Amino acid sequence: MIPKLVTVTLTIITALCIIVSLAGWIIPVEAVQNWAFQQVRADDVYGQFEAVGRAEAVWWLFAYAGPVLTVVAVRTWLRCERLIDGVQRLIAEVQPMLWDQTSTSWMGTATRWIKTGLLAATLLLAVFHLGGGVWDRIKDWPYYRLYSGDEMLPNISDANREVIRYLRSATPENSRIFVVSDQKLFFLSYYLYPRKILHRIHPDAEYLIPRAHQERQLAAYRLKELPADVLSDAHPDFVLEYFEGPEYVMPERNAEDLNWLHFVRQRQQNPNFVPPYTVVLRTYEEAVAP
Amino acid sequence: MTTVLKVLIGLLGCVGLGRLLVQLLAGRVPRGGTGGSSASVISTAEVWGLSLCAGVAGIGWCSFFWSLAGGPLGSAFSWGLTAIGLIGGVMTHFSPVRSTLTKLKSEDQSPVAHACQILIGVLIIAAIVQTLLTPQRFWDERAIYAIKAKVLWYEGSVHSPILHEADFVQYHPKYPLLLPLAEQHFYGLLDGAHDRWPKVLFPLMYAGLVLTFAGVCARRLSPAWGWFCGLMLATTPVLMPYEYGFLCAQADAPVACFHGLAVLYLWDALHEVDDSLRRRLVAISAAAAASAAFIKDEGLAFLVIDFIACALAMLFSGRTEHQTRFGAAEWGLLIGVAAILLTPWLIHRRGLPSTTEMNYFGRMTLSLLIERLPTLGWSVPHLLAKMFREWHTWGLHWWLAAAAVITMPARAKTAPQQFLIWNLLGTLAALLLAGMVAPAELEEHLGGSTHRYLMQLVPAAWLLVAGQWADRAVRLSESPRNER
Repeated sequence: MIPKLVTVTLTIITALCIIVSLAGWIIPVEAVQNWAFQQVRADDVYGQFEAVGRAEAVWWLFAYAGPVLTVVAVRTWLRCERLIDGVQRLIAEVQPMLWDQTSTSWMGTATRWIKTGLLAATLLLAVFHLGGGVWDRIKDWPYYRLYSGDEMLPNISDANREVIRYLRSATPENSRIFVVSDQKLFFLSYYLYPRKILHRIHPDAEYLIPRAHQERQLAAYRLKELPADVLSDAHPDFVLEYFEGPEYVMPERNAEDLNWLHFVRQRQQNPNFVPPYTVVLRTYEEAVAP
Repeated sequence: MTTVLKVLIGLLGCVGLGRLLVQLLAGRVPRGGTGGSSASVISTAEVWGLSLCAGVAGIGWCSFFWSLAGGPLGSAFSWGLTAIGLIGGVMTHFSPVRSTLTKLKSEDQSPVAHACQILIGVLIIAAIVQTLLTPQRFWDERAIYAIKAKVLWYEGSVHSPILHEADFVQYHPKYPLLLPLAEQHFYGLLDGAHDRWPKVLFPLMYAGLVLTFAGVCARRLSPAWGWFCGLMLATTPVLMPYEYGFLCAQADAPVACFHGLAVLYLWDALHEVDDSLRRRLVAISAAAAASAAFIKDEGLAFLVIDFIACALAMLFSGRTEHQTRFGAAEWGLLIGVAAILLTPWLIHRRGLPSTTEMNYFGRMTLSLLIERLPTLGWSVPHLLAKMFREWHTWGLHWWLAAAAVITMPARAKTAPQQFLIWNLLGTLAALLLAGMVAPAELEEHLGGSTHRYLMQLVPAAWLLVAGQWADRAVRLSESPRNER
């Protein structure tokens, strides 16, 4: 009975693997993407972007993991008897390992149940998590693909992204840029290196973690509030004023830096766009001029 | 394609370097004429697992000492180190000593071990593929480590003036440099700061941890149970596939790896009756503990806790052979190896800026501890919730560890098991202590990091389970001489 059940199951699995592999190689990726695109509402642009990317990821999975699984399934199917023998030996070894019946006390029985139950639950949990992991990568694919971090600037705010791109275009590599800001500037520093980003953290903001969408206003120095000599000691080539929080944004200055305004309007494809945050980049000499 | 080839050569060089280091530390571990006890024969899986981890650590330490001495980092150094690794690895692999690194016979015959090995292999491949599918994208991995790696790559030295500038924007300027140095090693090989490729080191550490764990448990406990526990460790969700575990370039999972190895080899040493072998196991443990401390500051606390836990296990497990055998030589090795590796780094870091540093050790005063005692009212329930209530997210290992101790109380009193229990209690207490003294808001500080801290303790928790519920563990620890 057991060998027959195993044979039938293996045959079904092998057939499924072959179908999946063939589907991956016969159906063009564009057809899969097109189908996914049509499943999303016409006005949901992000939904369409995600659906197309995910469909592509699933196609890649079918096309490359499918054949590997097929080879494994066929090999196992051909060696069915060895598999059955192996599984029987496996069960024979697992049983005493997890279900030690030498102790007949209630404690021994409880231990057997707890040990086996928890270990089985651990394996089951792992299956769910591994499946979830694969699905997460499928969801990630539309965004990350094989782009480099420097190119796509992942997982940062849109404002941070625009400022990084602006500074890349407006300052030479290896320049030193002193920034006064109410933002944590780690990502600017990372993606702009070898430009050196310098910043004097306000003591009240040193150990605070920022929150999304400016939900937490971090204390900051404005340019004129910097402790004496900080700016001159840093000997920067440029000084950037960059504020996003409501306590520090100066709406009247949001259009002061014309280069920035030109850059951000081009990016937004809107000739009248004025960003809701303050970005002013000047050379050191301009910044300290009376 | 050239990039993939360079990465592959780099990985081979890394493993080769690790193989060389393992040979130096443990090459003569298997000793002929000891009666053929499987516990004193390092298995193939353990050697290669340890080589993977030692390779990553080796790159970090070699780069650090070289740069500290004034040598320039960069492509030439990275390729040189890779060449040393490749040549050294090949020579070591084909040297006569290799014959002593034997595959356990019983391991060959165990279908459970065989099935677990296949599944672990699949998990390692899954980890590598998933890791490479994303660039570096999380806060810590970029703000703390990747920025330092980039600076080291561009500036070519740990003495770079920019790393010493207090106003240069980087998170935790005093944080250890093992990961940044290992990442910049790959930048050197690729001749560019492509932050996706160095991530391949992290699943390598995952593979190294799991293989070493399974290897040690297989020879110390039994092949089937050892590999089964190795599989359990590999499937712990918080390690893999949780995206802040081994799939990203943050430091928590690497600390789990090296702290796990340190605890594993101390536990192993506490079982061992052969003096020479035990000392080598202690030396491996000390090197792993030092590497954990060169990855993240928690490692320093873990090193102290390892030491204290070992002493407490000696003290409370009764006067056994372990107590007399784990003597001055072992203690000296434990402290000496860690001190030799860490002292240059600790001296170097004194010159680094302290912007955004929490300065836990410096803030630890009696008055502050008393003042902040009420914080335990929030942090203890929070910690227990992360360990037990959120099992479906992070894994069942804490439930298993608790159940294993409760169901086998007599075994928990043996020195090696006590060492694990004291170690876990100490590391958990350290988290609560950190919450008390940190200058950050408690709920925000611990709330966002407790699960990642607990991740670092996962191997020790699984080792406790493995030791508690294994049949041979008792025999080995209670009457070591009989084993021979």
